[in-house]
Amino acid sequence: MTAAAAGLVRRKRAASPNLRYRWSVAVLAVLLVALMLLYVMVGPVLFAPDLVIKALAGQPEEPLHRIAVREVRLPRALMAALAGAMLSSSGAFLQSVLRNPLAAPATVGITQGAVLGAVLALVLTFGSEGALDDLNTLVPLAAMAGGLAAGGLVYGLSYRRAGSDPLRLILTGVVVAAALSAATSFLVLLSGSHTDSIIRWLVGSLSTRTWDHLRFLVPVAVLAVPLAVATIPVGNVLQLGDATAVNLGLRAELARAGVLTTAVVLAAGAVSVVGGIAFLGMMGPHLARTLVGSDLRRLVVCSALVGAIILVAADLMARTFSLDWIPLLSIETESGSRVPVGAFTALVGAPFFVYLLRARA
Amino acid sequence: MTGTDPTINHPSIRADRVSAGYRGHEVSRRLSLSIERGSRTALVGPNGSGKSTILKTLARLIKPLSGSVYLNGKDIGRLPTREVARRMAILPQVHEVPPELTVLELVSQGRFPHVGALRMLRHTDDEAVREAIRLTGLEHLIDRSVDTLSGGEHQRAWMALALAQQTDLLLLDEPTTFLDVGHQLDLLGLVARLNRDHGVTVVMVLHDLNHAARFADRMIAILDGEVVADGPPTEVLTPGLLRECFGVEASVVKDPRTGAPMCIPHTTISPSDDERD
Repeated sequence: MTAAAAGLVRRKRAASPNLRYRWSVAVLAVLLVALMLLYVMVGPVLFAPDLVIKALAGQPEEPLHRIAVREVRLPRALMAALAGAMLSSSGAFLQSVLRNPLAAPATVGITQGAVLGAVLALVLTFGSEGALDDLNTLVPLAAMAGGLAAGGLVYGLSYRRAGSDPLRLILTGVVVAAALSAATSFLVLLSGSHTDSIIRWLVGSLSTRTWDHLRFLVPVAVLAVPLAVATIPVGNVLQLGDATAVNLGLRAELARAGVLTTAVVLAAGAVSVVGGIAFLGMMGPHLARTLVGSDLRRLVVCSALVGAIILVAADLMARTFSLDWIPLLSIETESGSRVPVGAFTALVGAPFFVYLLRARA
Repeated sequence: MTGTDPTINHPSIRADRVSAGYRGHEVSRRLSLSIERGSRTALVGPNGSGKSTILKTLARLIKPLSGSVYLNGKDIGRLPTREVARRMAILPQVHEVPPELTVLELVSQGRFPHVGALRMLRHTDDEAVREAIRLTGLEHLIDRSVDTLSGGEHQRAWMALALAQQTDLLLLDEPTTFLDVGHQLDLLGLVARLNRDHGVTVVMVLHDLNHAARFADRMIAILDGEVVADGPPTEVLTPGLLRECFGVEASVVKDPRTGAPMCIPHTTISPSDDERD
C-alpha cells in the first residue's frame, strides 16, 4: 500500500522546478479567487458579479443583497478557503515528517480529537437555550483543545527512551483515532437527541458558519504562519531521515516535535470550525506534490492553495446541489436540505484517491 | 587544548575508551581509536563485527554507552550538533528520500549547517552546492527526481549532499554496497580525489577487502567489536587475518597495476576447524 501510494506521485518533471512553482502558484491563486467569486454569486438568489462588488463595497441595490453577500456567503467562502488551506498544509507537514504518503490529520487522530471536543461541548451545553453566540465560540474552543490534546496524546504514547519514530507515530495515531471515534459515537448515542448538529460536526460542514467562527479561525491561522515558516526548513531536512538530519546538525527529536506542533495547530484550528472534513488533508498535499515536488517551501504553499480550492469547490457543490430527489439522503436543517460538505469531499475524494493510486502505481 | 590553534595538534577524530552499541547489547567495549588528519582509513570486518556501529558512534548517530569521541580534540557530545555538522559529514548506509524531490533540492540541504534554518527558506544553491554537483558529475540531473535515478546516480546524489557540507572529515558507511563494479570504482576514485586534492580525512566501512586495500592507506580490521589488526594494507591484509577474521582460506597476491595487496578467497573454514568460538 505504501509503495503503491509512493508510486502515485512518481512522475518526471520537464520544466525547471522554480518556473513550474511560480506558474502553479499563479494559476492556483487565480483559480481560487475565481471560485470564491463564483461562490459568492451562486445561491438561492443568483447575483451578477457587479452586484457582488456593490454589496461588498457597502452600496447594495437592496439591503438583502448586503446580508446575503457579506453576512452569509462571504464569511462562509473565506472560511472554506482558510480551513481547506490549513487542513491541506497540515497534511503536507505530516506526510513529510512521518515519511508516509497516507499521513493526514484524520489518519493520526487530530481530526477525531477535535471532533470529540466539539461534540462534547455540544452535548454538555444542550438545553441551555439561546446561547448561540457563546456556543459559536465555546464549541470551536473545545474542538481546538481536543485536537491539540489528541496530538499530544499520540506523541506521548509513541515516545520511548530513544524518542519517537515516524512509523510508531502513525500506528499510534491510527489507534488513537479509532478510540476517539468510538468515544464520540458513545457520546452521541448517550446524548440521544439533537443529532443533526452533531452529525454535521462529524462529517464536516460549513452551513450556519458566521463571522464568529472566522474570528476564531483567523488568530489560529495567524499563529500558525510563524510556526510553519520556522518548521519548513527543519521539515525539509527531517524528511531525509533521522540519520541525515543528525548529520546535518539537527536535533531530530526536537525538530520532529516542532514540525508536528505546526501540523497539529493547523489541523485542530481548521477542524474546530468546519468539523471532520474527510480526505482533504491527504488529497491536497498529493495533488500539490505532483505539481511542485516535495520541497516543503513549495509544497506547503501549493498544498494550502489546493486545499482551499478543493474545499471552496466542494462547499459550492454542497450548497448548490440539493439532494431532495433522494428522499433518504436529505437532511432537514435550518439552512435547508443540503448535504454537508464533508460528505462531498468523502464521496468525491475517495474514488478520486483510488483513481490516483491505480493510475500512477 | 591549550595550543594556539587547537585543531592542528589533534587527530581529526578520536574514540577514547568508547563502548558502542544499543541498550542491552554492547557491540564494542572500551575501544580507543585515533584517526589522523588527511588519512584514508577503511574499517573492515565480517557481518556483525560492529564496524558500522563504531562508525555511527563516531558520527554521533548513536550515543556511546560510555567513553567519549573527540572531534579535533573537542568532546563531540559537548559541541553544538550544528557545529559538528560543519566539520564532519557522514554518508549513511540507508537513505530515505521523499518522492518528487529533485537532486538540486536534496544536495542544497547540505548547506543547512552553514546557512541555518531560517535562511534556508530562501537558499537554493551556492558555490558549495555547485562544486558538490560538479565533483559527482550530476550537472545534467539537477532537476531530476531523486527516486527516478539509477543506483549509481542515487548514491552520487547522496555523496553530493555530504560534499555540500564542505567538511574536512567524511565518514562513509558501506558506500559501494548496491553499486556495480564500475560505479564502485567511480565512487571510491572520487573519495580518493577528495582526500588527495582537498585534504579531506576519510573513514569508510568497506566490505570489499581489495577495494579497502587499494583505496585506503590504513586498514583497521574489527572482530566482535575489537580491533584485531591495524596498519597499512600490506600488513593487515594477510592470509592469517582472513582466516581469523572472516573464516576463509585465501591467498594474498600483489595487484600488478597498483601494487596493493589483493586477496583471492578459496574456501570457508568449517566451524569445527574454527578456533574462535
